[in-house]
Amino acid sequence: MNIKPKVGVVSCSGECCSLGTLSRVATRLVLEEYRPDVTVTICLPLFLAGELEEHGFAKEHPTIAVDGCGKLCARKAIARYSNEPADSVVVGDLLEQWGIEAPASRRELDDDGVEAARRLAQEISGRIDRIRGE
Amino acid sequence: MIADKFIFRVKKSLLYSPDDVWVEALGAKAKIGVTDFFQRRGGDIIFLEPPRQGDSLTRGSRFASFETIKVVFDVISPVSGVVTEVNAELEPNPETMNADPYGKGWIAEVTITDVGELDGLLTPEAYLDLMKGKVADEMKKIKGM
Amino acid sequence: MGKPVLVIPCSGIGKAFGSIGRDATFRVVDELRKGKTDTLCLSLLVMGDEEARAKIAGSKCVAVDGCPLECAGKNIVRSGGSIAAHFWVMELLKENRGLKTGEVAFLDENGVKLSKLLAERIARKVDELEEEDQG
Repeated sequence: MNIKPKVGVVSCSGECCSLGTLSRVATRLVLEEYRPDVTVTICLPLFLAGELEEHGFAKEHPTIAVDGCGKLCARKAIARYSNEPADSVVVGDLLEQWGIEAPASRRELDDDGVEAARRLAQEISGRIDRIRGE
Repeated sequence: MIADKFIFRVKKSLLYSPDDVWVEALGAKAKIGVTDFFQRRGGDIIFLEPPRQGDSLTRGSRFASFETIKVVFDVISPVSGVVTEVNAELEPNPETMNADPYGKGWIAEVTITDVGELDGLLTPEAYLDLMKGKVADEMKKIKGM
Repeated sequence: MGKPVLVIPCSGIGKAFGSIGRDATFRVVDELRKGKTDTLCLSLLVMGDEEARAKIAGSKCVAVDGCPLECAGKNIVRSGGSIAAHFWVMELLKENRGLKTGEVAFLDENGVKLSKLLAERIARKVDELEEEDQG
C-alpha cells in the first residue's frame, strides 16, 4: 500500500514587509483552495513557542518552508526544531525571477498583490505535488 | 490518538457518553465536562451558556451550549439528575474548556437520580474507539487545517 | 523623542484571530501612530536576529495575541523583551458578539471592523505609554 503523507506548509510571519504578507496569503490559499486535502498548516509562532503538536508533525512529515525574504525564518526554525524542510520557497526571489514588484502595502494586498499570491500558491502547490511523488 | 498534527486525549479515570461528554463518578454525584475531541472539533470557545444550580437534567437532553467563532454546539447530558454546582470560572473564561477540558474546564456537578445510568456509559477504551471513528469522519470534512 | 513603542502581533496563521491582530498592528504602526510605533517579525526575534534583539532592548512592547495560547507574549518575554501592554483578539470578540468571523487569508467585513476596533485601543494605549514617559 502506497501511503502518501500530508505536507506541512510553514509560512514566515513576516510583519516587516509586504513579502511576509504575500507569503502568508499564498500559504493560506494553498491550504484552503489549491491543496486542501493534502496539506496541514504549521503555525510558526506556535511552533517557536514549543507547541507539541506542531513539533510532532514537523518531525514525522515532510514540510515546505515559505519565507518572504532571505532571512529564512521559517526554513531555519523548522530545521532547528525538527527536520530540514523537504523544500523551501523564498517569495522575494520568485518575484524577482518573474519580474513582479513587491506589493506596496504590507497590510492589504491590492489586485496585483492577490494575483501574485495566487501565482505563488500555484508554485508552492507544484512543489507539494513533487514532494508527494505526484 | 494522533491525526495529522492533532493529538486527541482520553483520560483513563473517567467514563464517557457517545455525545463526547465525560463523567467523573463521585458516589451519588458526578462531575461532567466535554472531552478533548469535543473542544477540539469546536475550536476556540468564546461564549458559554452554562446550566444553573438547581437545573434538572435529563440524560440525552441538552443542558448547556457553547459558541465558537463559527458554530453553536449543544452539550448533551450523560446522566439524569439535579445540578448542585456550576463551574463559576467558565462563563467569563470559556476558553478554559479548550485549555484543560478534563481538569479546570469541568462544567457542572450533578446529583444523579439513577446511579444505574453510569453502567450505560463508555469506558475510556470504548470511547477511544468511538472517537477514532469520529476523528476519521471529521478529517474528511476539514480542509486546510 | 524616546524609542518607538513596539507593537508585536502573533500573526497566527491557523485562525482568523491572528490575521485580525496583524491587520490591527499595521493600522497602528503605518497609519494611526506612525512614527511613534514600530513592529518587528516575531520569528526573527525568536531566532535570535541581532537587529531584532537590539530593537527590543529598552523598548516598550505591546503584545497582540490572537488567542489564549499567547505566542506573541511568550516569545517576547523569552527573547528578553518586556511587555508594557497585552491585547487578545479573542477578548475583543467576546465584547462584540455580532462580529464573528472565520476568514484567515483575507479579512471579511466583520474582521475589518474588529481590526479597526482593536487598532483604536492599541493606539490609545500607545498614547498612555507615551504620557507615562513624559510624566
